[in-house]
Amino acid sequence: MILTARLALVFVAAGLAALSSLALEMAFGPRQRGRPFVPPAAYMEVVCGSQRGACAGLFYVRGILAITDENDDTRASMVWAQRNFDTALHLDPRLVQAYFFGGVVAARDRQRLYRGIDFLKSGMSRLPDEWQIPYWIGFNYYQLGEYLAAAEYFDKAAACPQAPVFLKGIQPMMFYRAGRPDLGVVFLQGLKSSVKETRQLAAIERKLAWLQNLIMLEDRVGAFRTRFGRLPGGLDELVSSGLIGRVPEDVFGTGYYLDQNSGRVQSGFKGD
Amino acid sequence: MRERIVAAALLAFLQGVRERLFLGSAFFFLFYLAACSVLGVLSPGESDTVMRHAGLLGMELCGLVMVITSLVFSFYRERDTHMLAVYLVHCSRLEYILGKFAGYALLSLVFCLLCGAGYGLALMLFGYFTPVIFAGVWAVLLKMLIYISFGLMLCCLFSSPALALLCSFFVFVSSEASYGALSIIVRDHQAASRVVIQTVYYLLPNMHQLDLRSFVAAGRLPPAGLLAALSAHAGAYIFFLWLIIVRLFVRRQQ
Repeated sequence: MILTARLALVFVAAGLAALSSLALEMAFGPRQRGRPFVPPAAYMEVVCGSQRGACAGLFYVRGILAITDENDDTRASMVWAQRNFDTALHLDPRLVQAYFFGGVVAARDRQRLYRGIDFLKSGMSRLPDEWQIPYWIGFNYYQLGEYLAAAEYFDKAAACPQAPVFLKGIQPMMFYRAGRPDLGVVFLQGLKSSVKETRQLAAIERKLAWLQNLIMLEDRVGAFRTRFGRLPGGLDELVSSGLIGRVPEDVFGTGYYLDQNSGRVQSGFKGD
Repeated sequence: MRERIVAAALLAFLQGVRERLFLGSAFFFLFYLAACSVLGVLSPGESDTVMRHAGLLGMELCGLVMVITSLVFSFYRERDTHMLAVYLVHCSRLEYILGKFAGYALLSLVFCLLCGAGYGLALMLFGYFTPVIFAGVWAVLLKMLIYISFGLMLCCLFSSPALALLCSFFVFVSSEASYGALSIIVRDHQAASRVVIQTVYYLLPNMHQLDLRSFVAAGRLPPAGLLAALSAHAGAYIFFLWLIIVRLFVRRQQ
């Protein structure tokens, strides 16, 4: 009897302890108290001493947890995550993926994309030879629709040692999307003269022909507009009006067409 | 003489192994490895780096706590229960203290081998294993040998085990943070005092010199020259501490 009463008392006490903990969490939990302080990176460098790598890992995990918190998808959350990533990177600059999470994954709107770009740019000065960082900056500019800036950073990424070959082929597409295919042609012609490998050379020539056709067709559409005061109904009308002999073949096999909304010649080919 | 040193070393080693602290530390390290794997899961993209760093840190901390605590308490226990007097009937003071060091060095080696195997298996399980981790384990062992020497020196210096233990851990903390501290201190000092500070700094243990974790985390083999240099540095430093230990121990026990 006494034993049962004692046991009941233990259960009641345990329940009270759990309830008080829950009440404390709800009234003054981490959300109410605000995000914990992130110590300045230079200070952490001294405190962590030779254990910097392990401490960097902890800050990295804190940053990851912050950006994956679905209940706190705010700009403040991104800033806090970036502070953690920054400290992690100060302690161990080789944690390159921190730039990806802090600069690309955490950037979920236009404002945050710009903040992500600033964060990534700080990484470029820290790790000038890492091709991923300018590539991610270019990717953010691409998402913002700033194709010329994207092309500039893809170009920087391609110039880094150990950059994959595909990076060299992205820029012409960016120039095309920015409405400057002529810059894409210039870029490809420069690239063509610097490449010796036959397979790469063939790929560059194909892309160059594709872009030159686009430029020529857009030029003829402009001439049609000047002559008739309207857009042609399609590219075939350029042929029937005698402005071109025939619609050139799309080297990527997807076909050129005239987008009536934008008035620009497009191709089904969207990749690099 | 050699037989007596070996006997003293084996006694110290067996005593260290028999203590619950040794097995406790090894088991704690296993649990710590489980926590490391969680950290690895929470670090997408850098799981290998984070796990390798965290594993070596855990091994170092567990090993340090085990070896220093065991060494300090066994040293004072033998003195307080007059076991030391019994030992000194059969061997000289030098042989005793050499044996004590050798025994704990052997204990550290066994601990590092056991934990290194567990650490390697855990990494293998996640696909992040590289033989380079054993270079990191070697650096941890060298650090432990230096801490053992420091522990012995502090035991010879103080009459209180609590003081010796606290100072040993303080040596650990200060030696890990000394490089950053030096860079702050020398900034605002005159050239003359800078020389004095730097001399003190190089006399104290600087564990960042023995750090190979950046290589291990990146999966790169440290240059052979670096491995040889840091082993030689550890040897020289232990020899320097040994001169002090022998002097202190012989004088204290006279």
